Amino acid sequence: MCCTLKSSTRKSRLGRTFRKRLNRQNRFDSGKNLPSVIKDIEWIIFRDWLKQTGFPKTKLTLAEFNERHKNTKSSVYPYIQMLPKNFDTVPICLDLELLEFLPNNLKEDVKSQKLKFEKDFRSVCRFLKKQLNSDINITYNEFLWSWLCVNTRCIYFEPFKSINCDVRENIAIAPMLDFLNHNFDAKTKGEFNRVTQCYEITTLTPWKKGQQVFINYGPHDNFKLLLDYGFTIPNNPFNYILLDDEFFKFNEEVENVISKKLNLLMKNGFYGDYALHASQISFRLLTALRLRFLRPINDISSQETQHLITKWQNTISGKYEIVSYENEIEVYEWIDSVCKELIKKCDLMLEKVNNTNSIPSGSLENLKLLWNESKNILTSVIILIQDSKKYVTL
Amino acid sequence: MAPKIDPNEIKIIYLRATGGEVGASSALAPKIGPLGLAPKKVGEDIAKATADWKGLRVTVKLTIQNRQAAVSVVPSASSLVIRALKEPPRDRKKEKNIKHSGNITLDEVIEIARTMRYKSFAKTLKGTVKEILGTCNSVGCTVDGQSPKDLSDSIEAGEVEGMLFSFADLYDN
Repeated sequence: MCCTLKSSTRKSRLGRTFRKRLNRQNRFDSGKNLPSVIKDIEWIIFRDWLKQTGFPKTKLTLAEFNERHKNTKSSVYPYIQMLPKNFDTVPICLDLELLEFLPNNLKEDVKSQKLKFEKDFRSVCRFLKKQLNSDINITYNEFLWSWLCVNTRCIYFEPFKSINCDVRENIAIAPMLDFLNHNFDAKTKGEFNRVTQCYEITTLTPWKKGQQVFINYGPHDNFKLLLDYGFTIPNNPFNYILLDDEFFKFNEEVENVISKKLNLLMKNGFYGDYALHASQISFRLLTALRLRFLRPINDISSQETQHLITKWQNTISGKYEIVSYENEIEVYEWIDSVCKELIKKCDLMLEKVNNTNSIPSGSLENLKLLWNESKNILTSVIILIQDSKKYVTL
Repeated sequence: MAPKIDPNEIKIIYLRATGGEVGASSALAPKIGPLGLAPKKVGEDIAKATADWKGLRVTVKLTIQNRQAAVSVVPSASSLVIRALKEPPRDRKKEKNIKHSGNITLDEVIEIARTMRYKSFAKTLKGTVKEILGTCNSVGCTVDGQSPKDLSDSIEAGEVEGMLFSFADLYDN
């Protein structure tokens, strides 16, 4: 696979003859020496064989493993040599002890990623045993290495327009392209050009000579960046804090009422995913809290309750902004108190991270950044709440 | 797996709004509320982004990435033409069945054609200009004091000269 980097400066400014000449040159080039998709015949045969024998979906991983073993004979040997030797900062490689320093939602994501990986590993092992009567043995660490190589370096690539889009199937490795780093500022467009048979990235913002050119992996927050790629960026605008755990802690209410309320949330599609951003409180969280502080919902068939519920549903459909002033103030006070609690927790975690000596320096930086950014979000949300409270009481 | 540059992670919503006004959030809430965006805030953002289009109906594009929305205006031929007429802003609620009986110059039409070029299916700028003239006709205004239809015919016959043709072949591919 190849990639060409084009700047988006308009060629039209340079005159008609120039453009025509350029077009002709491009056509000439693409026919002659532009390396389009590398068609390795050996690889195609190998892939077909895998398809016939019903190999699980982790085909790319095995390819890497295979190529690594072929060593100098491999056509992509130089590329394999360039790959990083270890992935220390990716959470899946961290010790169980260090996982404790991660935020809860990230911990769960790491767990599910681990499960996914182990499933892949098992299916590959089974396959090797069954089909090859194996003299090739694959160790856990080797497989983890190649799995992570694919996970951190793959790009989205749709071989043909398919209706049932599973993202995991539409991936590809593009040597050279995967050396480019991520920045949330970068505005880029990446697409496979069917005419030239090249993967083209176009930058929409100009870069100066000598600057590092960034691409945009996608609108990812620091949690996802750390989970999948093993790094974090300061001041990432996509950062958020998840309040699901706090929200589902009911203490004073009756169980019957809680289940009714959760049912209502489920029905209206507002269950879960309650996030806080630095500049906004998620509408999902506000809506869910408004329902939570509706009271009393004891008898669902009584007229009063029905009236309250319609009022709440009107805030979803946008007819009204709030249910009632008292309700709105309760909502904000809840968020306020939760934020203050979480800030204390952040401080505690930061202290713990600083005092633990066993953390490798790369992860230490990431962890510090994660907790500091969370703290920043929480403090800005508290200010936001003060403004909103004023607005409500006016 | 998280492939880089995955186009499925970005959600785009198109909607029509009156420029410079905070619309009723009942139109926005059912669409963007479940995504976690506050309808009121997005409504204000739309009003801010369309401040140049006061009182005109414009198409707005909402790009939603990871629970955050960016607002941009999609230029459309008719709103560009109506903006070029420079009519005094009026209350949409009081006046009904608004007629646009103004006049714009051919230069303005060519300027509009250039911004709409990326959407046009015409091969040359000349074709796009004729498309815009058609929009002028439907809006009801005149161009250089003539009916847009007549002007379109005379462009086809090659009678109109000047700017149009010095630029027309620039876009000839």
